[in-house]
Amino acid sequence: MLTHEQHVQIEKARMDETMFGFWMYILSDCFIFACLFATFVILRNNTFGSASGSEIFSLSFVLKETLILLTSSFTVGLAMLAGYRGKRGWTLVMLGVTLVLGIAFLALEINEFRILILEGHGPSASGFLSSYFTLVGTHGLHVTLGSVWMVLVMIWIAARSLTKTNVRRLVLLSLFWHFLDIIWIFIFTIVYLMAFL
Amino acid sequence: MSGPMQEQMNIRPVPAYTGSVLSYSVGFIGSLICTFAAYAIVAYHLPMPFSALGIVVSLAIIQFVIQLMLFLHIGRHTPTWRMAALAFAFITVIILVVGSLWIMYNLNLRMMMPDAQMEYMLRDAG
Repeated sequence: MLTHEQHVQIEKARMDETMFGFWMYILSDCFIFACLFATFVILRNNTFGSASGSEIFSLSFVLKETLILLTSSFTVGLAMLAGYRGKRGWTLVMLGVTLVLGIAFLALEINEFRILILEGHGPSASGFLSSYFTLVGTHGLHVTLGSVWMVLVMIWIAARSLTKTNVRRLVLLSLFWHFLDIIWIFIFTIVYLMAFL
Repeated sequence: MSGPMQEQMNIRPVPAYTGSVLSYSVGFIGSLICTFAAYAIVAYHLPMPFSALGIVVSLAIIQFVIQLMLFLHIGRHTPTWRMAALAFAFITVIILVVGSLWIMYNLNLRMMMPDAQMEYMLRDAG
């Protein structure tokens, strides 16, 4: 029979392994976004006679999206802290709040895309809009997958409590969600704010 | 449930440093300040001592560092391999983005009609 100390050692090694793999994934995802950002910055003035960024973006709307995503990044952090401390109820509440904020963000973004396409500013209108939809859409896709993952983690925690496997899942999820908010800082600045400068 | 089994259930994989409610709150408030400041500069055209673009980009970088330190816990407790991987990713991203911009800028210049190129060079490139 293993001693408590040995269990801790094994668990620590497993956590290190998982963290290593997940960080490799996060960093390679950074390269995808770097390519998309580079493409966007190169094409941002290639409007092909159609609308430029300052004509079609609404800053106050984007601020709303930004604040929602930032708050969700904060609450997922609180969920992770509650998970470490074994507070199952708080973990679920904080994950629930994060999920609602994530879905609100997605709803706003889909609505923004819908209005742009209806007004004739779809991805095929110009190089600028192609790169815009690809960059922001890829981020939105990540948030969508993150939300699905969050539902699964909530179900696992509700069904099986905070086992070490579930805590590990929770830690990876919060890492992923923080990463998405960091990407959004640059989308907010480079895509939206810089369009008005 | 027997003793060892129960112990096994209770072990939570806690890394060296996980942050606290305080550190998360500081990160959140810092990020809010950066976001609102950048928004106000652009939306209300606040008069700036120097380039508004430079200030907005600096605010984004400050917010990036805040979230890296306080949300992703990159700092003194971070294992060496993670720091090395981060540094590698950072350098690669910079090469990718700056390199692409540099190449495309040159390509633009070289694909202009000769007259336009001359005019452009006289006007913008000294």
